[in-house]
Amino acid sequence: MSAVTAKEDRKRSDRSSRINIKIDGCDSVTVRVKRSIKMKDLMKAYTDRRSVGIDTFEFLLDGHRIQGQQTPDELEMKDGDEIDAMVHGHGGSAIW
Amino acid sequence: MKPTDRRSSSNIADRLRLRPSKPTVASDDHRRVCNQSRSKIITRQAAKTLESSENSGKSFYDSLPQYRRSRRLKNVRRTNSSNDKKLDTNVFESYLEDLWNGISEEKRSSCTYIDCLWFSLYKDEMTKEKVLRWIKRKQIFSRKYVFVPIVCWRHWSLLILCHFGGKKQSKVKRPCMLLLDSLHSTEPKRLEPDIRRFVLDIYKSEGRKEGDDFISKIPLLIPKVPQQTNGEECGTFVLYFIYLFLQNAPENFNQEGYPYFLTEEWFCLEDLEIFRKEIYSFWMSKGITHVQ
Repeated sequence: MSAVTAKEDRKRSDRSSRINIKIDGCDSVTVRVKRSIKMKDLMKAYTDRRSVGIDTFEFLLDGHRIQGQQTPDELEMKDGDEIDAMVHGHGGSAIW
Repeated sequence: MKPTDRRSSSNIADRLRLRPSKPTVASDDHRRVCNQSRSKIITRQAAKTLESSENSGKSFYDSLPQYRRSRRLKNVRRTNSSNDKKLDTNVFESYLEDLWNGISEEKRSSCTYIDCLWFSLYKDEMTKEKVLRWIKRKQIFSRKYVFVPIVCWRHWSLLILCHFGGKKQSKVKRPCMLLLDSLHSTEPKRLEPDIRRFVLDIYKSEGRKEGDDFISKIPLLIPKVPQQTNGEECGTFVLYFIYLFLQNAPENFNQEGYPYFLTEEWFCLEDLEIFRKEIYSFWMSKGITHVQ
């Protein structure tokens, strides 16, 4: 009996330890990840899937840059939160 | 020289330029696969070229024209190389954040800045609404100065919104905008329509009472500031503008006092060089890469 509840408990905690994150870029994808995952892993997966360099996109949560070392927990993300993948801008002069 | 002339000629040159061979495992694999799949369909002559080029360490794959996209990616990577003075949005933002943490509490509450990507995101229909939502949180109508770095057409410039919360009748705190550009030859005025739309949308999204007429008449001042002497430093200039403006900004910016310190002699290039070195060492110490 107790073993069953423990199992259920684990299941439940496991469920709440994962969240859905929507990544909005040129297309949008929703991924289900652990709350403790490093965001860089998510970014890497996203850029790898598109065969582009890891520094191609800037990932924004509510307009603020996400650091690779942070986790959804640290960012206080909720289930269903959206992050935006934006292409880097940079410039030196207008003439290229 | 006119920008268009140079762009067209350098573009062609860039496109024709061969991709330098990089002896990495991945690209070697890729090359092999490409060569295998191509070997069946290429002509004898092409095969000869292929053979000879392979002998010299380059393959047929290497001599394919380089497409725009990959050139852009290459440029992003090149920004991280040691000699490049160009700033990308990531380095820019990290440094600006650091600079911001170094100023007094009082200034931090009376001024704010918006992320350097936001303006270009605003111009994109897809993300426009989002950006306006983010800007709302910055409470720009209660700030004296709001810095809006703009990176557009590969050029950095700086927009400063002054006293946006000010009344239109007020003499000392009338709203106005400053556009600082280190390359006047690019005609900073071309940004005006975008800036006007941006400002109008900000007013609208905040539900302000000011009429369109008033908003479209907010003066946009373009002072003559020190100019860059090469094609790379505008990002550094923009950071330096923010840095100095924060130090010297008058309590109330009004048009009677204009242009204040915003002249061609505002700072000398030696000071800028020191500043640039600071950024560079900051960049190195952080090993700037948002993902590593």
